Parts: sequence; structure tokens; C-alpha cells
Amino acid sequence: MKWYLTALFMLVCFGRALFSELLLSGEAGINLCAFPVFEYTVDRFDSPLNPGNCQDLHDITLDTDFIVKLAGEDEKADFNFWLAVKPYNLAQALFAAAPNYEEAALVESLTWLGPKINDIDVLRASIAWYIGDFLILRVGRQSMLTGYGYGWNPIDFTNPLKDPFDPDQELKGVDALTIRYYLGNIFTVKLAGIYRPALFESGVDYSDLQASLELTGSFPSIEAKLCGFYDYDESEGQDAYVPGLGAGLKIDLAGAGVYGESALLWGSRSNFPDSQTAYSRKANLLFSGILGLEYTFESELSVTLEYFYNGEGYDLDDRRLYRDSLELVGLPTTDYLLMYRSGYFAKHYLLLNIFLPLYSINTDINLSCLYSPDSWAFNIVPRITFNVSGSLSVDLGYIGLFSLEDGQFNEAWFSPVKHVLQLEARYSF
Amino acid sequence: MKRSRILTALLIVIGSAQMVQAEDALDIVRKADAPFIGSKIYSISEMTVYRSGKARPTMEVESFTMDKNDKDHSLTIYKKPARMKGTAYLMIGDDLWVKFASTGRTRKLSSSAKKNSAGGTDFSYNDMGESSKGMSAKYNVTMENRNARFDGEKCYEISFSPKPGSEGTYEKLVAYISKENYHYLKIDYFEAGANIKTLTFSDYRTVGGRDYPFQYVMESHTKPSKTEVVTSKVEFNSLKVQERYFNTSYLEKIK
Repeated sequence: MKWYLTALFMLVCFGRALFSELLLSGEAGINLCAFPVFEYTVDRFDSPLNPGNCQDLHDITLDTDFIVKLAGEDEKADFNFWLAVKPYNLAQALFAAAPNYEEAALVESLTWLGPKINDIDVLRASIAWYIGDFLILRVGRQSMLTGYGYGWNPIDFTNPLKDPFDPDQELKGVDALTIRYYLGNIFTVKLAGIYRPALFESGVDYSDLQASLELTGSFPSIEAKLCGFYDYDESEGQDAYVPGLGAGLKIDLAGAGVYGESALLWGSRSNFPDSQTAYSRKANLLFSGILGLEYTFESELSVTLEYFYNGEGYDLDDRRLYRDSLELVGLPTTDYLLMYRSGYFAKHYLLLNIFLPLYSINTDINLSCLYSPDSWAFNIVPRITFNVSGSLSVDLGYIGLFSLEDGQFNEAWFSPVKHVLQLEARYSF
Repeated sequence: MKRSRILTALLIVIGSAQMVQAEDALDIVRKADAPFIGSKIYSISEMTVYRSGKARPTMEVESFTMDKNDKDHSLTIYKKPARMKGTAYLMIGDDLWVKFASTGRTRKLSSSAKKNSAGGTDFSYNDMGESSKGMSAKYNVTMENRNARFDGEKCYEISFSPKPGSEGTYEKLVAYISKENYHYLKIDYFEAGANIKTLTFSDYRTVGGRDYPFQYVMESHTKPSKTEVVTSKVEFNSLKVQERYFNTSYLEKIK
């Protein structure tokens, strides 16, 4: 904690000397969650993922989070430094850090600290050098977001998986050296060397370095991307990243945005159950893709419809084996917890998102519905945002997970929580 | 034969008179457009939306516009309020990208979004990225009344209809341009035969040899709302406008 505060203080002091413009901004949030259950019993949170409520879930939680953003810029350079203080579910923290499964035993012992820890996270820490008008060199922790999809981005090989229930959530940046070159206003080439040490490792070997290349073409009403990602593993399945090739396209047709992404992965990034006691990564070529349509009506209503084929998802046999494995192990290990990924659990997904800003009453209404036709899971997420002032907004939301057919062992079936009521206040400065 | 010659002469005279009138309207519009035409325009403005008479939090925006390769480029960045700080819109031709400050994500919007409100104001995205080549670039003009009056001031009343193939236009505009100094005084916007909103200009000041309106108000006729824009700074052929700003990658840099 002290190291980060010291670094922030020094950056503020010296930043003013180094950069002609230094900007400090951020957000503070308070999040109240309630988990209504309709049969209020002692085992109300029990599920194969949470036997005996081992994750220590309670009916109500109150969390705070805080992000401070420091940025400086001049004619030829800029820097970004974002610090976030957030409570982390330990399993989520490990997942976000691209866990190394060889350290599972040490990770298990950390659960004794409790299911949540407050952590200071560096979301961004980068410096950019603008060489002429068309070349940008950026080094450090930076945003590597890409793709056109609303809920999913199959061609985003570099970042942790996006949460389709909260696709606008800020993701932690990636440590990289990127070179971005503009070929006129038509093509952009981005080359990145990615530095990603394994959990609990202090550095990487040359063979652990990753690389990505992205070519974007912008034409009237059309934008296209070609992406490639390189990751070398000495042994298969060493980390959660695999080589990939992807392509994306977005076209404007009669006012509607039509888009698609397709990705080929050399193996899976997560484990598949092989039997009741074993799991492994797939080594074969896997395909994932999305197809989407978005349109904004004159009433300001925006509608997005998206289909996602998830080549890394589980079919019914895989989900049944996963259920059997959890029953056998009793207390799920980190590896098994990480095999459960809501929004990526099955092979097929349909997403409908509706957004309506009501400017007359400073309110936004958002509704997301996620349906998996092969696993019969249905999720609904309505949310109302009241923009109280220029700085304060208050959100009222609900998340509902439903299993529409028995025996499918879908993500709703596994989840210890089926209903969530959220009240969130955010202050921006 | 003699009758046909007289008729021909009459037609030539009438046609010439109409041509003179059409040229007048176009000349007048071009003179009125002159302050807004420029290759690199930089401005800082404050926008206040009034809903049912109540003022909402004032927004401060920084704008960069450039005409390049015969295509309009514009970048609008919100500086205030805190909730919107860092939100930006980039328009290149008919393409629109939005960078959301709260998440840092950049999305390309479909063209159906361009007609809708920008940031909750009475200006659409199309209005915000209005052509740096002036109104005459997208519209045909017709003189409606050479002796109109607006707010006691003598002016020309000129109607605008979209040129074939022009995008981001309204069904019809009616502008009132002062006779004395060719200032835009008011513009009425029409869709489906109805006047949906009105833009009025005031506080003209001379900057870089141009008379530029430092205040304008867009008032909606379909809802109880109006947006007041007060410009605090404007620069023409500004060094602050750089080519590299008009690129989606630059949106990531915006704080």
C-alpha cells in the first residue's frame, strides 16, 4: 500500500514538472448487493460450486471501490497511471492474473485469508512517445481492447475474457510494448510485445514472451481487422493463452451496424473435464465467432442483437462430467472454480441488449438478456441509472439466472446465487 | 415568327432574372458561411441544457475540426462535468466513433445513431460534426423573401433543400441572414414537414478577421428543451488542430 501511495505522490509532484498538463480524475463507488432467495434455508447458497457455502456467501454485501486516474501529456508524449482499490473474490483475482496452475497448492492456502481481499491494482501505467504524426510507441500497462462485439470479442486474444453481463467494465491493462503506425487514415498497424509473468513469478524467459499483430482498415461505412497472437508454451496448457488468428468486420447497412468476428485458436485457454478426476486443455484447432446487429431508432432506443459461437464451451457431456467431478472432489479447487465461466460455459449464446436514455428525467434504462440455446440457461439483467448530477449517478439493477430445462447442468444450475439486487452509487471527480 | 422571337426574348429575360436571384441566394449563403469555413478550427464552448426551464449541469467541450481530402473531420471532447469528462466523439465523413470515458472503450456507432442527441443536448451528432465547408456544400438554396425581418433586423429568408447524395441532412432548413453583415440570425430545421427545432445566433465578435457567433441556442419544438452554447475560445487555422487527432487510436489517449 505504501509503495503505491509513494509512487502516486511522486508522480503528481514530478509529473507537473515533466508534462505541461497533468490531470487527476477518478471515481468512487459504493455497491450494495442483496441475494434474494425464495426458500430461506441454511443451505440456500449451496451448489456444486459452493458446497456447504464454502465461499462464505451472505445475504447482503456492501463493497466500496475507488479508482484514481493520473494522466499527463505534452506535444510528444503522454503517460497514464490508474490505481484501483477493489474488493476481490480471491478466485476472480487469480483468474484476472492469468493463473499458473502449477502454483495451485500455494493458491489454495491463500483461501484461508477469506473469500474477499481489498487490493490495490494498477490498471494502467504507461508512457507513450509520439514520433512524428503517424508513429506511436507505448510501453507499460495499457489498454489492448479490440473487437466489435458488445458481449464477446473472440478476436481479443490478449485480454482476460470480457464479462457479457457487464461488457463496459474497465479491464486491467496488459504490460506491453506497442508500436502503432498509421498508414494515412486508412490502415493502422499495431505490433505488440507482451510481458506476462506467471502468477508468483518475478519475470519471464524469452520463450514466455507473447506477441500480437493487428491490422485495421477503415473505409467509408466499413471497418475491418486482422489479428494474430503468438504464445509459445514449452508444454501444452502451461498458461491461459494460446496462439490465435482472427478477423473482424463492421459494416454500416441502411443505418444499422452489422458486425462479425471469427477466431481460430490453437488449443483451448481453459480446461475441459476428461473424466471425473482429470482435466486438460484441448490441443486441437478451435473456432469461435460472433455475428451481431445494432440499430438506433429516432426515439433514441438502441438495440443490439448478437450471436456467439463458443468453440471453447462445454457441451452437455462436458457439463455432466464437470458436475460429476465437483461431486467427487467435494470442495472445488481453484482449477475447478476457474472452469466455470458464466457467459462462456456453453457453446451457443444469444444476446439482446436494449438501451434507452431518458434525457428529460436524467435517466438511462438498460436491459440485457442472455440465452444459451444448447444449455437452456437464461440470464436477464435490467438496470436503471439515475444521473443525479454532473458527478453523481445511482444505479439500480437486477441479475437473474434461470435454468429453463432440467438436466442441462448449465451455468444457472451451477451458480450458488440465482438472483442479485444491486444498488450502486458512483461519484466521478 | 415575330411572336416566337418575342416569346424567346421574354423567356431569356425571365430565365436570366431567376438565375440572378439564385446566384444572389447562393452568394448570400456563402458569405454567411464564410466564418465557419476553415481548414483547422479549434474551439472551447460551454453547453447548458435547459429542460422545462431548469438548467442541467453545464458541459464544457473542446472541439477540433479539419477538412482533409474533401472529407469533414471533427473531434469533440467533453471536459466537464466530471461524469462525462473524457467522453469523445470522432467523426470522419459519415463514420462516427464514441469513446466512453467511464470505461475507456471506443465503439463505432452505426449511422442510425448520428441523428440522435449528442450527450443529451438538442444537437445531434450530425449537427456537432457540421460541414467545415458551410451549409452550401450540402444544400441547394432558394431565396424565399428578400425583405424579411427577425428580431427587428432586416434579413434574407433563404430555404435549403438537400443536394442529391448528401448525407446527414435535414428535409429542409430555413435560414434568416442579416442584410447588413450576412450574419446567420436563425435557422429553422424541418423534418416530415414540421419545424422540429430552431437555432439562433448572437454575440458576434471578430476573430481572425471573421465575425463568429460566440453564443447560439438550439431550441427543440418537439420537447420542452433548449441547449445554449457559449463559446469561450475559437481559433481558425489553429496549430492546436493536428492530423493525428482524427484517428480512433487517438481516442484512447483522451483523458
